Amino acid sequence: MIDGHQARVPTMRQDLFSSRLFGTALFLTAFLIGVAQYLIFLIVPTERVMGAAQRIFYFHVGGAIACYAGFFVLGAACLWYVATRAWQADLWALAAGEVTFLLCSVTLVTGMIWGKTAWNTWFSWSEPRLVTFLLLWLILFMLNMMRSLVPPDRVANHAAVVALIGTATVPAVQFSIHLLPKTARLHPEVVAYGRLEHWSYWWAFGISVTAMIALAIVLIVLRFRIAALDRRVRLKLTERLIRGAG
Amino acid sequence: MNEMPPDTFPYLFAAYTAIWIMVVAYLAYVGKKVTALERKLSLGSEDGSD
Repeated sequence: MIDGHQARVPTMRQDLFSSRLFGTALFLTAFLIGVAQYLIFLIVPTERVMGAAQRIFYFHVGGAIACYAGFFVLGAACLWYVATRAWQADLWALAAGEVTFLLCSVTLVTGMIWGKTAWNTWFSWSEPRLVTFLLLWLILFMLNMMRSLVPPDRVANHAAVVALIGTATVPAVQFSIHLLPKTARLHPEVVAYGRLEHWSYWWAFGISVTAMIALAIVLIVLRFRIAALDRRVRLKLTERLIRGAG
Repeated sequence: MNEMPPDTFPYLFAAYTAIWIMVVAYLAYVGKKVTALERKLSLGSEDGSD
C-alpha cells in the first residue's frame, strides 16, 4: 500500500505537466518573461520625463492586454456553457475567471503605483478608465467569491451570467477614456507623443505583451486540468458513497 | 540642456515586487489545490477500491 501511495503522488503531478505541447509552452513563457525583464531593466534607456517608473509600463500594459485576452476566453466559455451546458465549458470559465482576476489585479496595482508617480495620486474618481477598470475588478472578485463559496454544481449558471456581464464591460473600459476631452485625460499617451523613440522600447513592449499573454494561456490550461481532475475525483467519491449506501 | 530624470526607482521596485508576489501567490494557491487533490486520491486508494 505504501509503495502504491508513493508511486501515485508523482504520477498525478506528472499528469498535469505531461503533454509535450504544455511543457514547451511553459518553457517558452519562462523564456519570454526572462527576455522581457532583461530588456526592461538592462537595455531600455531611462525615460526623460518619468524616470525609472516608466519601466512599469511594459508589464502594466502587457497585463491589461492579457487581462482582455482572458476575458475573451471567459466570455467564449460562458457562451459555450449557456448554449450547451457542457461541463468542460464551465471548467474553462472557472480557469479563465481566476487567471483573469490575477491579471486584472496586476494591472490595477501597477497602474496605481504608476499613477502615484505620474499624477501624484493613487486613484482618481474623475478618470473613467480607472473607475470602469475597478468595476471590472469587482465583478471578477464577485465571480471568484461565488465560485469559492457555492458548490460547483450549483454555481455554474449564475457564474456564467456574472462573467458575461464582466465581458460586456470590457469595451466600456477601453472606450471610456474618450468620454473626456484630450486635455482632461490622465492616462498618458506615451506612444502618441513619440516618446518611445529608441528601438528597445518597442522590443521590450512587444515581448512583454507576448510574455503576459503566454503566461495567461499557460495558467488557464493548468487551472483547467486541475479543475477537470478535481471533478473526476469528486465524481468517483460520490459514486463510491452511493455504492456504499446501496 | 541635460535634464535629469526624476528618482522614481522605489515605485518601479514596488510595482515589480507586487507583480511577482501576486503571481507566486496564485501559483501557491494552485499548488495547494494539487496537494489537496493528491490527498483525496491517496485516501481513495488506501481503502483498496481504486
